[in-house]
Amino acid sequence: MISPYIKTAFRSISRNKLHSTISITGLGVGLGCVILLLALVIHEKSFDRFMPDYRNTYLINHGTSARTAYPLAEAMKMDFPEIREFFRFYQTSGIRLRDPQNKLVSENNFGFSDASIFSVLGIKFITGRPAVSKSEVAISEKTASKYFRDVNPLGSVLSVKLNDTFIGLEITGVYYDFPSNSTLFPDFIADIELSEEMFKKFQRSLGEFSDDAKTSLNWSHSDYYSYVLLEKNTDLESLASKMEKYKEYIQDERIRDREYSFQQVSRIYLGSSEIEGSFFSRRGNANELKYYGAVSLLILLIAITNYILLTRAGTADRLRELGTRKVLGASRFTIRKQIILESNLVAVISLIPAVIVIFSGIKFVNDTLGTTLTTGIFKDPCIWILFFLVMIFTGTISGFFIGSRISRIPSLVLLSGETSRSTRSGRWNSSFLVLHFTIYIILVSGVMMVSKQVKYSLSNFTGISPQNIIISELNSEELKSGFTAICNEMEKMPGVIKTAGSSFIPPFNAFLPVNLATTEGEKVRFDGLIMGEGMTELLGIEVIDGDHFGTFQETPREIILNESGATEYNIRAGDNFMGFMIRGIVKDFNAHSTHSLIRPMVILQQNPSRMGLLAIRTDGKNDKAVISRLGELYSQISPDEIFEVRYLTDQIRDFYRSETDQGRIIGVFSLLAAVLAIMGLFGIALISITKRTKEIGIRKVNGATIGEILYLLNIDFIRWALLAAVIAVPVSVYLLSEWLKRFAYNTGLSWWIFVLASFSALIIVLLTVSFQSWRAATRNPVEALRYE
Amino acid sequence: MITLKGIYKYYDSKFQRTFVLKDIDLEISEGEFVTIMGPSGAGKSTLLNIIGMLDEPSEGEYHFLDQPAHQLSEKKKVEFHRNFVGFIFQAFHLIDEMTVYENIETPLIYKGVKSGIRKGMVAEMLDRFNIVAKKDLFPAQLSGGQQQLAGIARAVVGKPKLLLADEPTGNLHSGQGKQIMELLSQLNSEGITIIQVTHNEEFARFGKRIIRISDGLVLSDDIVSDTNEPN
Repeated sequence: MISPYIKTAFRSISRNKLHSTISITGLGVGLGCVILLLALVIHEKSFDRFMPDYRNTYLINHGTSARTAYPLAEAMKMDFPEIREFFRFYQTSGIRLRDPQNKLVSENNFGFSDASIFSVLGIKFITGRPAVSKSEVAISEKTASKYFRDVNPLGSVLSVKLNDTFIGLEITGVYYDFPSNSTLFPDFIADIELSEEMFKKFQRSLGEFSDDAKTSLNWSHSDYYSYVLLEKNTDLESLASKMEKYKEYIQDERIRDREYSFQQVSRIYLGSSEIEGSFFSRRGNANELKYYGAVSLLILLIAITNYILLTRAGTADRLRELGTRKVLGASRFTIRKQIILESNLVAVISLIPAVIVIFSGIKFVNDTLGTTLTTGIFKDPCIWILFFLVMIFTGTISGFFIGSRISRIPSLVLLSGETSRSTRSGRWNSSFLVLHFTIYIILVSGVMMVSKQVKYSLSNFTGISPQNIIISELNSEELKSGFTAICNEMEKMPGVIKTAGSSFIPPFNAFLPVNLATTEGEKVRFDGLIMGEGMTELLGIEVIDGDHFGTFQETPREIILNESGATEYNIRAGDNFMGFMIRGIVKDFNAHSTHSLIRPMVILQQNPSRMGLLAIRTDGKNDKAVISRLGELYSQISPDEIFEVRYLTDQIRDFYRSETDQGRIIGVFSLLAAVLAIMGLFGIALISITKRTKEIGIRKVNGATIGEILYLLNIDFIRWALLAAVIAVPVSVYLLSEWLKRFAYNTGLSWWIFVLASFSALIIVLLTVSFQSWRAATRNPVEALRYE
Repeated sequence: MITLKGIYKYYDSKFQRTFVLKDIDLEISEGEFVTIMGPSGAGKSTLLNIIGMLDEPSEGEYHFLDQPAHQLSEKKKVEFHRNFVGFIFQAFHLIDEMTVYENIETPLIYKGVKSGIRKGMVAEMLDRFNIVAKKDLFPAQLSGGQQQLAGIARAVVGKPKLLLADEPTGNLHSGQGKQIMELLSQLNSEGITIIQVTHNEEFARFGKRIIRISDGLVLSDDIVSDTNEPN
């Protein structure tokens, strides 16, 4: 009973090749996007569920921080029987090491952990065992094949520079790569105690502003992830309350009173928006995920309505066939069944373009969203079931829509070929059209708004001129002590305007809270920066009272405040404030991204022999030579270092990565929406112009010009596009003003965005419809009238 | 077999009622071969469509095999089309995407005939109408006469009691037309009741009874005398 239908369906698909190609591609692209986004949602929700006992594995949070003190987890294991296992984790980037060919390379995912990480996460070793002492390291499969290819790396010694000097680490094992849905992703795992070196390095970069340099790891080192594996049904609240006793070990009173809590591992990835300290693990965004889910539904909606439109446009010449079938004894039900079957068949065929979209889209999605989706997810049968359901849903819904109307038309009308006289189908068609263009206008104005804001943010850093500033890191002792010499040498170069050193160069992403304290114990908290002499001038920060930093001096220590800080505490240059000399007051400037407001800020002066960063302002004309000269100097002074430079503007661009990426994603969607809308419009225009063939003929016989006919045919569609604009503009004004709220400094909505978006919709309508109506308008009217 | 009593068909527009059929009374018994003739717009096709239950009368009673056809439900009408009636059209209305064989098979599928029996029935038709060689061709590959042969084969394959033909020869040249008419006569002699609509006087005389209508009214209803039968 079914096979004859499939046969005829295939024949009618292959008969109208152009039409079928358009509708199958449209549906396929839509289906592909939907499935890709759904796969992404499933992937994002699957994070950390690969752990053997993920239900009982927890990350300990301390207040709103994911990072806890070094001894915490170990102490808990000793004190509480509920703790079955624990591990601590720390990861660092920019580690220099010598590869087996003795070449210096930089590695980013260098982790430190207790050996129990492997049993808790269920990560197995290909060969060897975890690192258990400070002279050992385990490496991932990926790393092993990168450095050793086919050679067995066990026993080889890697020379790694953790704290300005190289130490040898013996490779004790190679572990399988962490899964793509793991929040942790270390390529190296050294013993946790070795992380001590990293703190020594960090404390040195802060110089004398840090008080506990060179102490071994203790309760003041609260930068670790502490994971615990608990017994089943452990009462988390009572366990947390038993942890109260650790509070007394914490010296920093700002965090001492924070409560401990347990975050189940499967909730880390999407449930950490309120939790700080996620620098070295992957984090997703639950809100964005909802947003992508909504967008995928929107695309499915466009794809389905579009398919319905195109198919209806195409069924015009099939009506006679369906009429014949009815006369031959087909019931309404059989007709409907046949059409649903056919559209399911089309949905199946459209899987071909869908699969192409999915596989080429994975890389795009990962690049733009920073996700880790792999084709491996398609090994999951759930995805295929979903795939199948989406397909059947699409085919059935659209078949139902198409079929229910046709099956109700009397067979006589079908046979005569005089259909679609009813205005009802016209109303459906035009509402689909309005829907498509509404979505299109919303998306396009979104794209324009995002790019306008990003452009604005990049060029409107209040108080700083970030152009033409080259930054490089001073990563070794030699470079640090050679800082002044490098500066002097570089300033001789043509094109170099100024050089200066600093520990931080604004705008930067992190915050450095600084407490100024008097000997009486009074404390004032500021947003802080540590800069060297000349850095404020180099950045173009304007002094409104006093002066920029002079030559560095130990006592009295000099500081610079920003205008907000000075106003808040009513201070002037030359005042003594909490034991510091106020060297100057500078105009407010954006030290961080424009997402956040400017706060009272203190700038401390850095010792010239302790600079972490070197900045060079150039005139932008001789940068190549400047950079290569700097590289020369670096390799002379510190041949063991890798020379890298970046521009301050790139650093700023990174702040807006997520916005830029959102812009790209919306851009792709709006392109898609545009293409689908054009296809749908094409379909509707085809129906309506065919329907009016006779009218056009009569009008021409009576003397209408081509221009008048074109106007006649276009005016309806333009009316619909205008209606779409009327609906879309308020919606997108609302959505975009919500979106702009995430920027403390934003460019504001502009009327031209909406005008331009609506106008582009009009242009699309005019071009698409005119393309078809031109043919109708220029045709010999006798031909059109002959149909009677 | 067919009884029409006081059949009216009209269309209402805003200010006037346009009559297509006015007070038609008609009785057709089994085994007849009736020709309906008349000028364009006389209501011939409408009458045929009402008899074939493709259209409904505005007023009046229609009994088919003593059943009140004007009261039949949609479902019953589908049953009627499946089991009692076959249609032949001026424009053939073969399904373009199907071969001749599949076209002929289609009504049997709707009727629910089992595949094995279906094959036999279709083969018998192909054989009878001499189109075995054409069975795998598509309608577009056939001449008009061949298409109409396939159309007739499709109409009678389900062994209907009634065959309705709306200008079956209208798109054919006279030679082919005559062949088709002879075929219809033969089918009639085998017991199928046939009602045809035609413009052609010569082909009209293949029928045994000619009903002439004009402006929706029956003008005459004559039995064709044997002497008039064409050779």
